[in-house]
Amino acid sequence: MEIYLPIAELSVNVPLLLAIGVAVGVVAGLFGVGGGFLSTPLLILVGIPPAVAIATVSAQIAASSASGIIGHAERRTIDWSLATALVISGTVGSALGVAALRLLESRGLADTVVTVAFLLLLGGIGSSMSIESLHAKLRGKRQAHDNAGAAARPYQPLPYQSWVFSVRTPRDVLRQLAFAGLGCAVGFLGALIGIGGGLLVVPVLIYAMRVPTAVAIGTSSVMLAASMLVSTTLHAATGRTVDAVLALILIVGGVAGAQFGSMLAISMRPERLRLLLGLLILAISGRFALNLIETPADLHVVQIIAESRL
Amino acid sequence: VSRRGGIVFALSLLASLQAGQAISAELTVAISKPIIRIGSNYTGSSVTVFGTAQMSGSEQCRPEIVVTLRGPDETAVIRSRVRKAGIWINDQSVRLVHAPSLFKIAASRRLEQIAVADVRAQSGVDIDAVLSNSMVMQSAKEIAKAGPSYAAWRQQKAQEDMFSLDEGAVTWLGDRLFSTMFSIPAAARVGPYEAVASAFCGGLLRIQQATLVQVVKAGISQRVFEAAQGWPISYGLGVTLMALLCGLLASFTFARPRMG
Repeated sequence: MEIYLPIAELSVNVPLLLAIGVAVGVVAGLFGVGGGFLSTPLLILVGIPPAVAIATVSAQIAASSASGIIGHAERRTIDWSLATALVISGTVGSALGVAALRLLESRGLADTVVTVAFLLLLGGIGSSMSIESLHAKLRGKRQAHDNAGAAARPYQPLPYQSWVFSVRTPRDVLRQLAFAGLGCAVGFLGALIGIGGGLLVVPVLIYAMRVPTAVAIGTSSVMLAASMLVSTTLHAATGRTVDAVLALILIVGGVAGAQFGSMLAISMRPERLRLLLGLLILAISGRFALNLIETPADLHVVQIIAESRL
Repeated sequence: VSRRGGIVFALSLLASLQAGQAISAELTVAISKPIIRIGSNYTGSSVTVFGTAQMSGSEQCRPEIVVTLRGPDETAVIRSRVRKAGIWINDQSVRLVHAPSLFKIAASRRLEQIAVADVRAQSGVDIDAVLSNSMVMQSAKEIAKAGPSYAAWRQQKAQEDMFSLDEGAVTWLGDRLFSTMFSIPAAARVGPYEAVASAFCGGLLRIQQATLVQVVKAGISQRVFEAAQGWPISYGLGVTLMALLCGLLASFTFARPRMG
């Protein structure tokens, strides 16, 4: 069953797109990430133009993140003040990312920069997550009763609220700058390379900000939903590259998959969840490394600058 | 266009004028469907170009027909990929300005047998000549470097059924009536497509006639496209609202029954 995508301007197989949506949704629900790091390359693989894939995936990430928010709110695993701070800075980052993408596209550098950025980001995060979670798992086996590790601390929301919005000491200012920098970087990368940034924000919240895994995932959902909504609107306004039909198919598959993913996540131990995510990220970064060094099937790339429609 | 080509074309025109006294050419051309609508289930289409051709006069000549179909123009940059420091990056580029997004040729026999290369180029029935008119290059060094990627792009366009040459595809349905069919692939751009029929005789172009077919989006595809182009901010906000509502709806649908 084929459907014509009005903005991508090609016909694609609907069950294939739904399957991509479901697969990405399961990963998104399981790990609390947007899943853009999976869906963007998969869409490009099935023939969707990269600019349309990056822009449309923003809408899918927004939907899959939004679908998890109520569940996270009920489980009280969202730090709303932290989420608000990240959303504000993420919005600024999204705007900068969209502008940077347009600039790189005009110089023919977008695909190389996007691939290298993906590789560095995913490789770094995947390695550190895998190593840390393996350590945690081994430590847990040796000292099952010892939960004094930073990542395993029970969540206490009040200190975070005071970190984010109150300025009492120079250290508070530094923390606020760190949050702003994190949100800005996530928004920038999200808009630039078509990923939600959950891959970046979840590990940073866990390891640098000492936020427990469940809260990092819940808070990142709120941040991702908001920053991707901004990113989608900006892509539509500046590049006219958001395909509503493609977005709807991906969203339908994605939100269904996300529910299964989040159910699985509840039943898994945090360090196992982090190890799985780390290994998945490493596998994908390996694929990107191959893309850079492997001789491409086509030794040329075509960019359509303008079309005459009359 | 080369100087030699210009001279040959001038000579062929002169010969045509002289021959015109001996041969009078008549050509009509029409198209099976003037509008192709791209709906949500569009997977490609086809269009038949047909017409009548007749040469009369003192000189006996059965015309040879070449029909071209040219899609909307596009400006494209073709960049070659080279390995630098171990990784593949984009390098030298060829810029094509107002190049046809689709260009198909159907002929009643082999093009070499219909007219020589320069006449074909001047008559607009040579894809290489059409594309070279669109090419923007700065130096011979650039041309040499970008040549292979340009050739690869040509090959890719042929594989995508955007460029084609079908010699023998124009068939005669009698003494005067000819017909040929062009496929319009699923990835064809929307816009005007010009079908041009050219009648050759004695290796010279005698007469050309053109007709138009419009490829347009229809139904939901058209509405989505127009909204994205005409009201981009409202369209973007609409898509984001749809995403948000779908997400929240799914959350309620899946989560609430379990809570109860």
